Amino acid sequence: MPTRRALAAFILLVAGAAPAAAQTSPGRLWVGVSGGVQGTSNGFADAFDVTSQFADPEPATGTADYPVKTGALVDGRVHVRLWKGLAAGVAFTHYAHRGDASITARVPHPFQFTQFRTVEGSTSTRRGENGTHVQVAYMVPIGERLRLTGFAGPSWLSVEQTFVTDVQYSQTFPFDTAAFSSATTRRSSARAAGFNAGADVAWMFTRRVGVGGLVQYSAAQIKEDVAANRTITVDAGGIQTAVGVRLIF
Amino acid sequence: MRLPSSLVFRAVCAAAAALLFSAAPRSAAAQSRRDLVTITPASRNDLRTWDARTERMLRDGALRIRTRGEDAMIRGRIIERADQFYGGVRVFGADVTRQLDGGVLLSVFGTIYPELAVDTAAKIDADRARAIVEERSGAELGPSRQPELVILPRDQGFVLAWRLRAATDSDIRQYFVDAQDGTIVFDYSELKTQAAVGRAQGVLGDTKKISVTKAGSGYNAQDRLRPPAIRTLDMKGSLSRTISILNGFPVAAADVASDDDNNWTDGTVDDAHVYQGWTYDYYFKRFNRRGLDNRDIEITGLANPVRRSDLQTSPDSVVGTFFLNAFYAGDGYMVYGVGLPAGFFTRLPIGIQTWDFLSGALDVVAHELTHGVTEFTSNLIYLNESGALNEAFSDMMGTSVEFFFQRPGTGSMQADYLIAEDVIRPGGLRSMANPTPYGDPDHYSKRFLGAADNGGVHTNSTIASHAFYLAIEGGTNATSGLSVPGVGAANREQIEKVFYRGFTELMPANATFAVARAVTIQAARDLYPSNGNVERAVTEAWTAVGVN
Repeated sequence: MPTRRALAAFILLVAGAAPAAAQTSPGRLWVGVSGGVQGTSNGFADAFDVTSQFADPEPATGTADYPVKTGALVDGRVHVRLWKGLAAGVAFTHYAHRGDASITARVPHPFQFTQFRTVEGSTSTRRGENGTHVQVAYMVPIGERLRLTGFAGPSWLSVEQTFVTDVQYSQTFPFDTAAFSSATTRRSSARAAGFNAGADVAWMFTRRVGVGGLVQYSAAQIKEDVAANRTITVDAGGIQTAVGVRLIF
Repeated sequence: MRLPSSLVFRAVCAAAAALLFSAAPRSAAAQSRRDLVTITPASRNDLRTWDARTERMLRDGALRIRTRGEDAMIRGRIIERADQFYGGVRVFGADVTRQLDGGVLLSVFGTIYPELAVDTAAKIDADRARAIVEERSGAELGPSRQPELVILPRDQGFVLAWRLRAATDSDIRQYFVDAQDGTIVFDYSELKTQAAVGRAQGVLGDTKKISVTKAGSGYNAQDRLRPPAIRTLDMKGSLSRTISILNGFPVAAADVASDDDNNWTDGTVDDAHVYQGWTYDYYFKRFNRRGLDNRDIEITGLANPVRRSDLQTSPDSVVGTFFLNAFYAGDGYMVYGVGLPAGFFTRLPIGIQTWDFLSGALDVVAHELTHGVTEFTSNLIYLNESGALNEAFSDMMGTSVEFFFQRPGTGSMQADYLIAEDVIRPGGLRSMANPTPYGDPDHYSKRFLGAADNGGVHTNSTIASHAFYLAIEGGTNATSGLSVPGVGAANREQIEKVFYRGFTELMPANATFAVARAVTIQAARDLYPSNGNVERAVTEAWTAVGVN
């Protein structure tokens, strides 16, 4: 609530600096600050080796299913008008999601070959994405106060992800079952180029201040180092929806 | 097994065991400190003295009962365990066990510190101790992990300490934090870090897992993953060393079979060690039995007791005992014969047979360990009918272990009703399904009545083991012509449990076949009171083999 109040006060302050009923200006500098969500279905699975107890000659293996679901998004962008409605700019997005990775391990029986036990558990993982989006934009005014802006361009997305690298399990004689104890995790980050495209609709209260909403799609495939000599490619980005303040200078 | 009697070795090993057991208290005494009193009353007077003293300590609060319960083995007996306390603080490792019968003390054992003096006011509180252990171990301790204030006996004296266990991904350690100054005065690992699993090649060239111990840069055949110690000795063909161990001389580290890379290639050692473990597993899983004595007595197998190349220079008695035989030597010791070199064979009623290393057959190993079970239960006298029942029970359980771990079939390492067929080829030593071609009786009327073989303990065993077979599989006895329905192979567990209960719980030591019939029928009624098919199968099986 304090954040909303501060935002309202900021809008009123900036609005007060210009004639209230003036027509919107194309301006030179378009600034937007928004908050919203990133909807995504970039969940993925990974397979890894599990350290066998007792130096068992039979390998233990595990898989982890990582949830990458809708999460909070912060967006900030600046466009510079070049000619008529044409502009170029840059946007920054940050998305974060925390969820439990589902882990399944297949661990060998210490007395018999090919008699694996299944161990299941979960561990908390965090996914963070930072995007830098270079954009070419075109703004179309609709009426006096409404502005529609389309944009597209290349993106650089970086992903920081918690990965499960090993599983600890407990077992006792006669070893017919094994139980999940904990998971060893590591955080890894990497970045790659992708693209973005989207649109922004703004309603200007004054010549300089308004509110707007944007929909942007960005995507990239990123190769993460999960462990020594092992990488996994994950999808980053998604549909980003956000609302916030729009300023024209 | 079939050939020589093992009675001599049983006697020999009983003496060996006595020596081994007497060695343990000596080593414990060597670790004691001046003020430590070990309670082992040697006379009635001593017992009375300790009775009065422990009663006084209980009244004073210097001893506090930790557990008190009825003896699981002997009805009416009460077993008490009491910890020593000083100033309201438990003395770590100081406790007493008392056995009472109707309130009368029968035995008392323990270790206490009578001359104890230590300040029991802690300057470091439990939360601080937890933090110290968390910092040392790197573990985050949950709220349920509360430190215990104890008095820790040390060589230099006594330390008031907080005791706390912490687990990490590589260890589980007990920490003792000095309650006066916060230093960690003692810690030790509770993790069995030495256990290892290796890859072993059996006598028949098959590959299996072997549970061993990592020792330095190598591995030795000591199983640390099962509740009892199970070890296999490689006698390296030294008959004299084998005899020494059977006569009670201590086992040296060099006697234990070892391997450099945990890729075990001596089939007779490997199979002896692996199959001993599997047999333990069978008894545990099927009957909830903890080893031979149901108290996890150590199991020791002796492989390579002689060299095959010494066959022609060995006397017949040695050939019969250490080449063409495997035997249970008492007190958890088994010896596995080496068989015959290539080009040598025996001629039995079913024909010419070669002999491989005897530990290569799962039913042979399980057979010998079952003699141990019998020793600690019915203790069937190894003579005449009771001796035949002793042998029969070993064949029954040996075969049952095969069916537990191997697929049914007629090939190598498949479960069937032949005994030792994997190593005595072709055909094995006995058949529970069809004993006659082996010269063994399938009916009581055909039993051997001579004095040889302790009154036919091996040959007559097939009368009982054939009944076991019929009770499971069903069929017609060739002599009586009587048919038995059997419970079916899918229900073999029922008959295994009936015979196990009959032979280990109800059977007297000098039982006859008629007694065996009675106890197994009783066991069927006990275990399956609402399933008449089991009792019927058992009853008709005994009738079919002429035992009434």
